[in-house]
Amino acid sequence: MPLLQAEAVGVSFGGLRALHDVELAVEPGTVTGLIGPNGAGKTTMFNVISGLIDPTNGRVRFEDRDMTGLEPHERARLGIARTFQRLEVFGSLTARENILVAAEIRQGWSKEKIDPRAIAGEILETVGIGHVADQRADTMSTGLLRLVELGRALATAPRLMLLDEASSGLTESETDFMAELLKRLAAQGLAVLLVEHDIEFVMGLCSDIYVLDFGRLIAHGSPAEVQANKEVQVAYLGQDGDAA
Amino acid sequence: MGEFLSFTIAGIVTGSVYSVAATGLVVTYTTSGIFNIAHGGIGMLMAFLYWQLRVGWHWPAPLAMILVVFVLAPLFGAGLERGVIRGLRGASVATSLVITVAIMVFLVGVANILWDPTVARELPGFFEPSGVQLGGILVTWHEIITVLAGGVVAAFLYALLSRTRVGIAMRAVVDDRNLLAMNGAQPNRVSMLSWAIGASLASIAGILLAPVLQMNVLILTLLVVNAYAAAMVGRLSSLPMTFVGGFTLGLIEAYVIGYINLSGPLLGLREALPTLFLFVALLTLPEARLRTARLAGAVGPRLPTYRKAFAGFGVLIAVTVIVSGMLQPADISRTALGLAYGLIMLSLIPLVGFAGQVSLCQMTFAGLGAFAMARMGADGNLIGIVAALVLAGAVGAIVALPSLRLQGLYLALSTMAFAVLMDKMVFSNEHVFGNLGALNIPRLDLLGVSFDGERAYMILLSIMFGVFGTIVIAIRRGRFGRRLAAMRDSQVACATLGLSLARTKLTVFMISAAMAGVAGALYGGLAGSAGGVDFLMFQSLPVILLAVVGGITTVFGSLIGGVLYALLLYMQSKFPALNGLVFMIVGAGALSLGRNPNGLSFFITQQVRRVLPKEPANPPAAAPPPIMEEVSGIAATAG
Repeated sequence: MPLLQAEAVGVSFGGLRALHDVELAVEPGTVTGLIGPNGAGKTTMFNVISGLIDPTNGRVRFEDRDMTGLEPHERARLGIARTFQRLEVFGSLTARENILVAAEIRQGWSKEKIDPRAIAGEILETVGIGHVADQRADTMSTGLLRLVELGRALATAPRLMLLDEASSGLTESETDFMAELLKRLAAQGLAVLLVEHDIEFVMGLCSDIYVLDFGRLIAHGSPAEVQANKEVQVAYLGQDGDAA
Repeated sequence: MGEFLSFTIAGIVTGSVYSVAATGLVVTYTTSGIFNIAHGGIGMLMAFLYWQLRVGWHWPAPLAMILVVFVLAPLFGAGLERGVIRGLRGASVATSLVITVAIMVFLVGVANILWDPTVARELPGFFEPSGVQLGGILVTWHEIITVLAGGVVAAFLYALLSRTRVGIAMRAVVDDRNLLAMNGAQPNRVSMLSWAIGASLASIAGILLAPVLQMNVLILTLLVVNAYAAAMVGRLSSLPMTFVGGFTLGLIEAYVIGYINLSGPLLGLREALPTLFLFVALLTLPEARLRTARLAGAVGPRLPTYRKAFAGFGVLIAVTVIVSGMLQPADISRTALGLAYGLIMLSLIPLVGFAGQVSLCQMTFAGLGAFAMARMGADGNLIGIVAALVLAGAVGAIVALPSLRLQGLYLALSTMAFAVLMDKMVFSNEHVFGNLGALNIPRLDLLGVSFDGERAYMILLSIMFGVFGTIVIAIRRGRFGRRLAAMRDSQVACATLGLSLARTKLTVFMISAAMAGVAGALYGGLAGSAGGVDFLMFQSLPVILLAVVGGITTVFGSLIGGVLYALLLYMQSKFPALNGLVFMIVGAGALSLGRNPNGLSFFITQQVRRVLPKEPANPPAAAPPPIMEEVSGIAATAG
């Protein structure tokens, strides 16, 4: 059974339909991709999963539990963590404090006995930002901040990680590092759902890819299957090929 | 039946005024994103200008009306948008609230200077006292014109928003601000126009209401509370529902006044109705969608080490001991007032400075503390202080609860409405501050040491400032402060980490209220007695504004703010004619410094650093370079 399952999720803003009966499943220990052109509804889907937006219809199940009506913080406590396309770092805190505060928040709700400082220290190393640990976040580059956000999300010990544009704004070496890191995390059993612009990044990393276009799911399958899909080529790869 | 009809007519009349005022608020809020606390203040100023033309200079009513409503008010609103509001785009809710509060306080100051508040003024209604008979009831022309004005405003707004290009652009912003910019409309022009219209609507409400109420600066300025209570029914966005809210509030008010014998403890109920209405409306509001933050982080002050902080408090206490030895008793208490206000301002730092939430009722909590001290702290018993802490903290929880699910703006609006409620219903009640309107407030006795003498009490206040300051710094340096900073920087990120925002906000609000309660008990002890009039809503405003001027993120800032306030009050007591000037100075100060959370304390410490030789232990790398633009730039392009 998949860890996360979206069943016919639809979202309307006023008259505008942002998502149209989207079906999606994420398995533990895998990196799943969610791609599509600008405005396809990828971030909206993330917002539905993390509870920032209520879907107009359909439901999201986590471990077969219907999450309808659960607040964002309640979903986080179930094990869903996320990062943000438009960074939402705690700018006035250092990188270490960003992760520490997340671990402390977890200590507040988790039954496990944890040592937030030790966790922060470990995660700083895991995501490779130990060298800037005590720098204020609002003085850092986007690439580092993506790692800070990832580290902060990891501090909640999630089982599902939603990454919104994990590689955007990253240098080439940072992108490679991010890919390796995500593979490692998935190998440890984490389920990762990835929204991405960078096609190469997605194709190299994901075993399973969903393609959205104008709020509709137009394709789903392995990287090869998705790449071969005519509709995908028209809607997405064709126009975005030169941009990506 | 005749009774019911006459109450209903009265309700429709006031409902019209509330609707006009409330729609003005909604139009400006939805199109510019800035909630205009000064809306009532604008209405007040325009009503006084109208009075000046109509009564002072004997202009004919229509001419005065046209000049104020169609020329002066729109120009004023547009100018305000251009000069102040536009600069607030992208600022936090706390900052924009502080700035509009500053505008309000400034306008109150201006009005008090131009129109001596000790002179009684009357504004005649239109064609008073004649009217027409309706079912045996005389309806004055003024009332008829009031209702017609409501109808004209509704028709005008309908036509504007559905028939004109710019109106449609304005409506588009109601749905989505970003959408408007994407469609190539000019948000600046739209925003300026909406402020012009908003000011014009405020002036209509002020002119219609002034003859019914009084030509009183504060009463007319408080019209904003009625207006936003009504606007809450329309969730600050729907104009038709805002009209429903305005009329509902007007009718409820009329029926309550008509059918319920408002005497004894219920005497203030009329003025308290908007607050009660607001709280009920808040409870029915749906939870706000969490917005993603625009700013990556606020420029925070340096974290003081405990060693430096204790050294600072030591200096403060030492200076107090020396200075108090050189002053006359009367001057001691004047100077000590600065410390007492500083204490109250310190209570705002965790809430405003750290958590980015706003309270406009800190003096109300101080009043509760003073009351608790008076009742429970006989002979300076410490129980009085504990009672002040518990009472203010508990009431703080009740104030905050209805709006915690919502955005920070609603909490601030609740606190202002709550302060008005307390002014009218509780503090003026003879069971609270006695039938003479004041209670003796004992000075604290600690461990058998009496602080009854002026000098001893001032030293006690300086010690307490050190204690409060230490608490504030401990919060900032500790895990809770980290959590507050995180919440201020990004609520949405905190929620997705599993933090209950409501609980965190409740906690910090209660801490702040409890601190204000204790500070109020000590503040009351300084004067020796206090009454309800010492803790009015309007006294909370200079306190928060000067705390911001001093620096809302630092303990030092509260000291600066408190001393400034004491200085201004001293000036005022020497030259009573300058009453309005103090408000103007406070408002202007907050307007110019309100956008820098570190206020004067930042400039002062910077100057001191420049003068002092560099400490080798202090690495210069700590100063944050201006990367913020870069981060927000990325945020803008990544969307």
